[in-house]
Amino acid sequence: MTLLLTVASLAVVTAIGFWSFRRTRTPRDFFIAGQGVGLWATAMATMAAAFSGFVFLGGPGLTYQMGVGSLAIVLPVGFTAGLLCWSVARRLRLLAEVREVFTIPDAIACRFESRPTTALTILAVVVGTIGYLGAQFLALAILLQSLFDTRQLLGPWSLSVALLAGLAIVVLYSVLGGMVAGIYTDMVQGILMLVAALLVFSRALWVSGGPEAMVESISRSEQFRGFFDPMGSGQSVTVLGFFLVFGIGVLGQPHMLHKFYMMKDPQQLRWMPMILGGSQALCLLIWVGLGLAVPALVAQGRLAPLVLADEAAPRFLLEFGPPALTGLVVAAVLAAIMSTADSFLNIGSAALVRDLPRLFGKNGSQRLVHARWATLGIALAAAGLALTYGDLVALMGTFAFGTLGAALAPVFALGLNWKRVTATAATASIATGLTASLSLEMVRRLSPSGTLAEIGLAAGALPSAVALVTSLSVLMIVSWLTGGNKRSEIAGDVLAVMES
Amino acid sequence: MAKKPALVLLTVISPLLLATLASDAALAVGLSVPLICALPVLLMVVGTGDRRPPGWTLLTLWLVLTSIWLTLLWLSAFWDLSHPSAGEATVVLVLMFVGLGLLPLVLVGWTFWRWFSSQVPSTGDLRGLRGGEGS
Repeated sequence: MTLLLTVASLAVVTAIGFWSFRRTRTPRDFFIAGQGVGLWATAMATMAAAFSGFVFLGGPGLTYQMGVGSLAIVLPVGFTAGLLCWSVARRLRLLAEVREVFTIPDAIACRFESRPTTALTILAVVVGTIGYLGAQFLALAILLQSLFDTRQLLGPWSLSVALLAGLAIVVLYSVLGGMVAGIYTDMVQGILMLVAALLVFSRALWVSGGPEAMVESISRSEQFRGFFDPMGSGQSVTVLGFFLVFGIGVLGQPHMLHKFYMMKDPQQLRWMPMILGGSQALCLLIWVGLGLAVPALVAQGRLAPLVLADEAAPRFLLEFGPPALTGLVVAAVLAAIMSTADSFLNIGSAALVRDLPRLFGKNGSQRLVHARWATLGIALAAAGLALTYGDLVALMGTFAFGTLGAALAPVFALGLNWKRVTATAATASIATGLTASLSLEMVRRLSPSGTLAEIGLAAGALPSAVALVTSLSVLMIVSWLTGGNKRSEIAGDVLAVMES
Repeated sequence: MAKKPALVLLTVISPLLLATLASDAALAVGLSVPLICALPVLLMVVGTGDRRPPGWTLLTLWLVLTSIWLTLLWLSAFWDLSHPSAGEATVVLVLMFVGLGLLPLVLVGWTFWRWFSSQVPSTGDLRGLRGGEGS
């Protein structure tokens, strides 16, 4: 039943992909779905692209490991959709009215008219894509490993084999339908994710005896001591870092921003915070439900303590989910992973085969061939990263999300609103965010304590949070130092968008 | 307009300064929390350009967020929540989800809807300004 439902959902999504493919005739159709997508489809597709294996597998695992402090990642969802629409989505959508912008680097090119700024944006998109895809591959590998119990069969090679299998599935899907399927498959996947999240949340409450029994069994357990401390078992600075990275970093996520180009009517954006935020809040019930139910079941002695925290969701489904529900959820998890993966593969390969040649005045005559090679190259790099990362899915997702946020959020949030931001400042900010995030993450991973304490920062400080604060500061300081009255240096149509 | 980015910068820098200067880590976190919470709200204000949203709603939102964070920190600092009663744990969860999740969702969504309805130019107005290629 599980396999049947999973295959059926993949077949439906692939069929929609082929249907979309037949309707794709121009570059405008290919990159921004002909700019004819309605409000609900855009909202659902944005939610599906934003939420991935990180939410469905990584979230419950992180909550199992560090308690309710991990929910600081979830909580900004109350304002992020509004923040996104207020400061970035509105500008991007209006920019798409006056210019032919198809990708995220296009918007930066229009605003700053600077090759170094655009080149660094492309680099940030590619690096972030590799990191985020890596988290998807890792999540998929853990799901396959749990479902088929490959650990017993393959021992230490289990995760690597599962990861290669996951890589093959994602790449095949992307080449067959995912790359061109775009927004409509994302929309269907988003609806599937919502249904599964609501069903799993209800099941989790039912199985663990309801909210009161759940809370009581966790709070009495010695194993989950401090679980309900507002910071959980994490350090305050880590939890606040989560809140900052996921609250502000959302403004620099190309897989979400790109969707706003596709909306048919900019006026419909007025409903977006409520629909996008509402659907995200409902989808996050799976994180909250399983994040509380699995520790409760372990505390009640009904589930063996987990070997890997990331196995919280699969273990619950295998032991407490009826086959139909398990099948639906596995399909939803695959949908979550695929929708994010295909969005990133699309954006990453477009950055390499479209944006990069255009930067040097070239058109790229064999784009389709190049796109396929670029897709494969990015996927292999992401798989390599996932194999060597060796940590929780949620932490790898945080690193990737934070890197994109640190590099791009300041440029989009302030650059599209504040006319004084100069190209020099934007370039410096992207370079700082990217370099700081990558180098601090490397320092953290190489240091004996696994923290940033060796370089004088607080032990629990998140590299991406430090990088985000630094890049935002650099953007503003360099703008003040290099800017004058920059109004006259911005193209008239772009200025009209910024002042609208 | 120039004052708004200045406020944002202050919001970003202040937590770092406070965290550096404060001898007690818990105090540093407690002091920096309201500023971290205020950053998204300030970015929204920056995003509105010269046509400001209804200010009181945003201010209320900020106050709600910060006061709830401070309550949580207070709970964390003065209550022993290593083995909370079911009631105490429920209070923590309700404060987190209602105060930090649902309330901002409704407040921000409603405020944005009201503001946006009267601000965005028609597509016809903008199409008259059409320029060139993206890159």
